Amino acid sequence: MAKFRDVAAFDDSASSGYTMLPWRFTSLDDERYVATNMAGEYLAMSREEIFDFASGRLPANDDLYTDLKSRHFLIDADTDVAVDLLALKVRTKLAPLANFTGLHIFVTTLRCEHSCPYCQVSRANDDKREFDMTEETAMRALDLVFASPSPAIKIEFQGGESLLNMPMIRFIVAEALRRNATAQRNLAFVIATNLAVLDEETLAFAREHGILMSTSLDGPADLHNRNRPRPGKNSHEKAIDGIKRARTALGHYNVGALMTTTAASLSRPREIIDEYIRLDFGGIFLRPLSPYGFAIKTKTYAAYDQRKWLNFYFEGLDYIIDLNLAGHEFIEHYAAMVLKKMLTPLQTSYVDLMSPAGIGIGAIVYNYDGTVYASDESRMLAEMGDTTFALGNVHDNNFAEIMLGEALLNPLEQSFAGSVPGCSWCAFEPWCGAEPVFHHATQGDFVGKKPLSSFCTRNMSVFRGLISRMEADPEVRRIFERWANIV
Amino acid sequence: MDSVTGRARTVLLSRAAFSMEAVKRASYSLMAQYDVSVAVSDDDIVCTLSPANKASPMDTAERDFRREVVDQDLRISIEQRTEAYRDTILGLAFSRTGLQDG
Repeated sequence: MAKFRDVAAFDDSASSGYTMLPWRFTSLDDERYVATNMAGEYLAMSREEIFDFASGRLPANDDLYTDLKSRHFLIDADTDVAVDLLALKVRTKLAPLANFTGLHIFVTTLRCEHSCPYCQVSRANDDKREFDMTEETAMRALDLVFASPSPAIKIEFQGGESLLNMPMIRFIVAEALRRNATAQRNLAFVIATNLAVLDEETLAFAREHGILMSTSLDGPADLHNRNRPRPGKNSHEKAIDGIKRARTALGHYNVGALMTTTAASLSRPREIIDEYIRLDFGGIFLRPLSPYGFAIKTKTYAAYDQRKWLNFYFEGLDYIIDLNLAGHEFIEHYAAMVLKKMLTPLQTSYVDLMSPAGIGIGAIVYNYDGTVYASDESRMLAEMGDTTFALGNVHDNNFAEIMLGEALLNPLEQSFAGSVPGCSWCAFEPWCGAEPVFHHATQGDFVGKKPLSSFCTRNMSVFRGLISRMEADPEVRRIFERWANIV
Repeated sequence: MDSVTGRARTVLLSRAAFSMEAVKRASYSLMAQYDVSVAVSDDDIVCTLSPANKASPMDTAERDFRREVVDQDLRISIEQRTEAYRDTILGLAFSRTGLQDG
């Protein structure tokens, strides 16, 4: 006859013979730590709780025990399903790796009529046609695009100012569509443009083919024009006019904008955000400068340090949070991408936050001259004379030679965050990126010494800042959960 | 007993209590603040902390370093105790992906 278990079996006040699953911890502030499991799910814990859990002393009736169990930090006699669930979540996070490469960037020309001192790409005067992509180069590049196994392919046109070689954009779109009639990929196009030379024929072509547009908007007119000089000193006016016309032609949400932070931006995060709100954008990407191209030559990159950028970032983030708390839905895109990694089992396609790194397998660049680069930053580095991340040339190399060559595989393997010093024991590793190009550019090797890396400093600060805000206010957490599911 | 020489600090850690791996990891993690030289005596791991730059907080150097060694020691212990599960989870996650031949 079946009997109930002895009453002692229901006493869970004592430590309970649980088994830890893999987890890591990193300080959040002076009092607390962040603990993460293999899938990047997190809990904020005190130092005492960290040591109690690790030493097997946590009683089963403790609320923390329940939290740790529900997030697959432990298994006990009641259930061991966490191992299978964790494996499923890790697999979900890594699944996009099999679908390399999704983003294919075509540099249609290096010509540009702007002369932005922070430009990360060396530019050529707008009358030098030798810096334009040819049809033969485009055809070879498209061979590589459609050799990619990715079911979704996005072709992005960049420059210079990409629209200065509009005939090449038309050619590539037509040829890609022709090939896709048999390839049957989910094919999309984006034109990155400053909009200054946008004409009606271009808009009609973009509308006909469902092409999205992405532009630069650095903030209010005086700041934008100071950051982005052009003949006529009217870059802001041109951008605003272009945004309005493009929205009318393509649809409101098919026109995006990106800002870059210069020293002149640092005291004005609210004004920059207000400009995006005035123009009815749903969010903003508060971006730091990158250490490449003209940003180095003109010393724009060295004009401010990480601490100043982080102050700028968090003042802007808090302003955006306040807007949301007041009922105005508006997102900060970098935070949203990090939050997606923190709060969902999904990955972001943002190359900087990928590990294995997104170079080559997340995005790849076909330069105007046929050189294939591992990322946009890689070609910026090459413009400075460092061709470490040049993977080959569309005229000389096939898909296998480019994707399996040492120029790509070495930095991918060496920089994998899960196995490098500093990252392998960091609780934030599931949310972070490997960034071999940045570390090569700033420290001379693919891995970099993380405690000296401004990439690491910046991301650690952002991760801590986001968690602190979520832990302090359930309303902020609710807003962040919404952001995580938008991007 | 720890000693202070100029701005440098010497921290003694019992070899019976801490692994050299934990000391190396702590030295790495704090390299932005301190240059750490490591030596070994019969009973101790002898760590000499020098400022890495003018802003290095030498007043809290010993506490920072000891705390980091303790944390790293615990991390190593967790890694060792959960290694089999880590391998199992990764094995399950990568099974039947179609990424490998055979």
